[in-house]
Amino acid sequence: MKIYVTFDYIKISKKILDEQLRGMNIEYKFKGFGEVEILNDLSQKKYNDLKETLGNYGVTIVDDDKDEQVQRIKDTITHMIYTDEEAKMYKVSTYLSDKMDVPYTQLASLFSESTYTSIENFVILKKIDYAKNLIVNHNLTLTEIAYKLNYSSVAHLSAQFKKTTGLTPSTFQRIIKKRREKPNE
Amino acid sequence: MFFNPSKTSTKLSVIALLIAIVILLLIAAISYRQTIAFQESAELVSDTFKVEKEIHKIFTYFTLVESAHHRYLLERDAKTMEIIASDKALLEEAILQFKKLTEDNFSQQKNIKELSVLRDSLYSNYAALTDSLFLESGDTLAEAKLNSAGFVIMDSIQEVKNRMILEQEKLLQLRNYDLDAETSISPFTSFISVLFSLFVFVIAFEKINSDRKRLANTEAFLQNIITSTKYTIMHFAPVRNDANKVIDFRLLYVNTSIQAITGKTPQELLGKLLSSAFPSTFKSGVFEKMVVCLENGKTIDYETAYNSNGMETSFYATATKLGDGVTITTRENTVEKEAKKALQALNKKLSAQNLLLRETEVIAKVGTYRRVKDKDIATMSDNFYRLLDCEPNDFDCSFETYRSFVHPDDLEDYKKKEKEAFNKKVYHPHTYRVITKDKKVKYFESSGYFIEEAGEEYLIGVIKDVTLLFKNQQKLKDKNLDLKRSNAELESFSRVASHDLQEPLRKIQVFISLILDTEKLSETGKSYFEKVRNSANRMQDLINNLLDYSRFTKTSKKTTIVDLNEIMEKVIEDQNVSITEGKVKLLVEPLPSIKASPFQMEQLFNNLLSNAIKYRSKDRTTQIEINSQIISRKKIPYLFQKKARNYYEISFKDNGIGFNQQNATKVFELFQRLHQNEEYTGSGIGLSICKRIVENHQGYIWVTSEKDRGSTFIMYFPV
Amino acid sequence: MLLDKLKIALADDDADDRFLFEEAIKEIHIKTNLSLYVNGKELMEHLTAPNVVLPQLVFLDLNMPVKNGLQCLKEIRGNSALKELSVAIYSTSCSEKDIEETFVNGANIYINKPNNFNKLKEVIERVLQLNWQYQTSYLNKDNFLLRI
Repeated sequence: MKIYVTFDYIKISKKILDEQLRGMNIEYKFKGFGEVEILNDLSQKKYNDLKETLGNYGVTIVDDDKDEQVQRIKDTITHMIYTDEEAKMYKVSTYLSDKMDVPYTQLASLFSESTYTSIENFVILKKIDYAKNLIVNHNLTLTEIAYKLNYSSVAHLSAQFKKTTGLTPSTFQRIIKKRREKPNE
Repeated sequence: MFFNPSKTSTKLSVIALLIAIVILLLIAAISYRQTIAFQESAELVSDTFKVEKEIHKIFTYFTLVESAHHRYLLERDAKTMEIIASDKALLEEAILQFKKLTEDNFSQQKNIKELSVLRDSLYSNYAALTDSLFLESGDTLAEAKLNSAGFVIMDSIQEVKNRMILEQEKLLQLRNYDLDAETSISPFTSFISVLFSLFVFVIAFEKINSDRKRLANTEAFLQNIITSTKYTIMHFAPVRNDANKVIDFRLLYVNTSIQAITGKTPQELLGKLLSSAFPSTFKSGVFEKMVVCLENGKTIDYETAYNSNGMETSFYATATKLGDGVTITTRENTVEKEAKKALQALNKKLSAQNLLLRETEVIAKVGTYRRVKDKDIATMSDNFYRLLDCEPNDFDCSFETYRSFVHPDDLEDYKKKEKEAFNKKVYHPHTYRVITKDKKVKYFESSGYFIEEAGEEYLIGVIKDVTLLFKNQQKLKDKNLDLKRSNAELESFSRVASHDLQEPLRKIQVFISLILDTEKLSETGKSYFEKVRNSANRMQDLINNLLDYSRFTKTSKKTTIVDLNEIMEKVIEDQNVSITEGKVKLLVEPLPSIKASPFQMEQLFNNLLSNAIKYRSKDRTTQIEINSQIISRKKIPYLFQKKARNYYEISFKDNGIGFNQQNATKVFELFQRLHQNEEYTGSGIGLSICKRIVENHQGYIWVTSEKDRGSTFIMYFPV
Repeated sequence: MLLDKLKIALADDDADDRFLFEEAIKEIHIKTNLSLYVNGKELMEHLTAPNVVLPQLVFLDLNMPVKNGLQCLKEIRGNSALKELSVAIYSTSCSEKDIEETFVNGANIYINKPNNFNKLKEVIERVLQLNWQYQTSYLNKDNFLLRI
């Protein structure tokens, strides 16, 4: 049997963090995306343990300031695309600098320095990733997806899709469908 | 019953009639006798009266003689003597008469004798008296004595007379009585008898008359039947030789129906001999049957046939003895006749069909056979023999003999199949080889089925000489194999081209790019390498295009009903970038669904659309119109093989740079490019592929174009 | 540093291609640790060896002797220990059939070997970048398809 699932990464991440922190008797408070305030004093050993434990779940404690910043940018972008309806009214640059209270140019240079890509590209990547999810798991039409992801037109969406993945949305859909239909070997 | 007259009633009436006649005769006889008797009696009575009269006459004469004698005695007159003499004569005459009359009466004869004696005595008395008187006259005593003796004689005579009369009366009385007795029965009895006889006679007559009428009716009826019947009725009288042996028959009667059979009227045949009218009867045994019938009085039923104008007609016949003759009734065997008719019709049809079948067998190279199940009995059609290079009925057809023709390599299988067919009573067609009489190997396809006929089961079937077919099939198989091989070769060529050929080429390209990027070269060197690179690029294009083209050489097997609207959408989606970049205005009308390969259709539309976009004019907004309609094949102005009645006409119309119409054919040719201008790069293969695809779908593509105005690609697909 | 050295592997029977790939990798910004295999069999032996440090990304040539790219792909996708591995097909073939077949069988990336060195560099860089994003940015790897 096969089942198909979709994930709410933020929820999962929070759940993992919650379980692990509670398990280690650490009191905490979520402050924002990817930002957790630890209310106890942590010994170096306990900090290392926590880092290792969370690492098993793919959760990295960002101890570098730059990395932390990049992660926050990514999280903000994710939030913007997935949840924030109002974000549609803003340009990405405005939204990010507003949310993070850092000038956009600074964020942009920081981001490209650490990730080999630009914030713009990342936004596209993230949007297309979301679009793929919507195509595959929700059977939304391109028109619906274009609207949901704030594209000016279907053509724009499909052009961007093709540019990003090298495939048209329909080819992509067909391939994923065939993959799922493929019997387990 | 009218046509069944009662024999009893006729008999009865005849008897009654006879009785009546007998009675009448009886009465006549009795009457005659009575009349005779009556006459006799009357004669007798009159005789009696005559006798009596004579008696009275005799005694009158006696009295006259006496009285005359007395007077003579008294008067003595001589005259008186004379009277006495005449009276005496009269008396004598009367006595004589009486004697005559009573000849047969004994007692009267006795009386008359007595009377004669008395007369004599009287006469003697008288003579004595007369003498005495003459002599003495006075002797009174003697006289008185004589007188008294005279008186006594007279008394005796009187007495005789009385006796005679008495006798006569007695006789009369007796005779009257006899007459009475005889006539007393007749008057009443005869009256009644006559009445009765008359009654019977009338009844009998009536009866006989009615019978006669009825008989006449019946006869008319029978006559009617005889003339109108389809039966032929003949009556023959035997013809015998001196030895009283029947040697022939003579036709005495025949009804008109004979004409329908022999064509001769009854008049022509009547009186003819059997041997001359129906000579065949002596051969067919009918004559003998007639003789037997005549001699034994037996009714004989038999069947016979009459041959007229080559047409044999069958009859049922019955020979019956009638008097000294034979009546023969024949009726045509109608059932047989009808059956024969039907059979004849069927035969005609059958023979026509057989003829056809024989022709068909020859033309179709088939033969038919028929085999009795469980027995080694079989028949084969003529053509079956011929297919085995034999003459028809060259050999006795049986399972064994036929098996000897079957190719030894196929024999086992053949036997198995036949056995299986006979066991299961289902014949599965199979093909086997035979070796004909001329030692030729032929392929026979055998089929058949089992039928039941008159309680026996048959296998009937057809064999078909499929040698040619088989050989053609073999050829076709070989060719197919060749084709498969060449297809495989083509495929492997494709692979070679796509991978093995491209590999080195790609490396040339990569290393040139590496050289150009990294090595320090002179300007000349650079330009040379550029040229190498261009050529390599061009070559790669060619290879790619060739591959694209070869991919469409075979008709795709995966045809489904394709909604061209969906295909169009997909194509537009694919070309979104160039559409957006070129600011192309697209006008797409609803398209039909056709039976096609979706992939090829996508490729077709893709090529046409990209072609239209590629060759757009820089001077105006590009507009591409895509239209479709159904059109009758008669209205299609282009020449191509149109198998369908109606076609979908799909057109791509652009307002691009266009070309000269005279080059229209060229655009569909492989590697033909009309535009040398670098701006319009192209391989010259896209439209060739389009043509290929359209033709793969039994369609047609054409283009009309005008330089600097635009082109219209028009396609037709069968509906 | 966020960016550790990216571990990648290439299986290609063509020495020139391996050479070019290595050259291209050297010239791009992303730091990588490239291991080369001459056929699919060698690659698979390495991947399934005990205590191996797995690469994040493997490049598979399709046409290889001994064990071809598609076989490798199927083995990789059939092995749960290798489920994190991104697979890029690196082939000369541009047949749609090959492309779709490999995607359906679990390839993430399909690269037509470019005929230009610079382009090769670009392609590899883009692939590495994208793969990096998939490693680090909560992207749904199930939907990771790229055709270059």
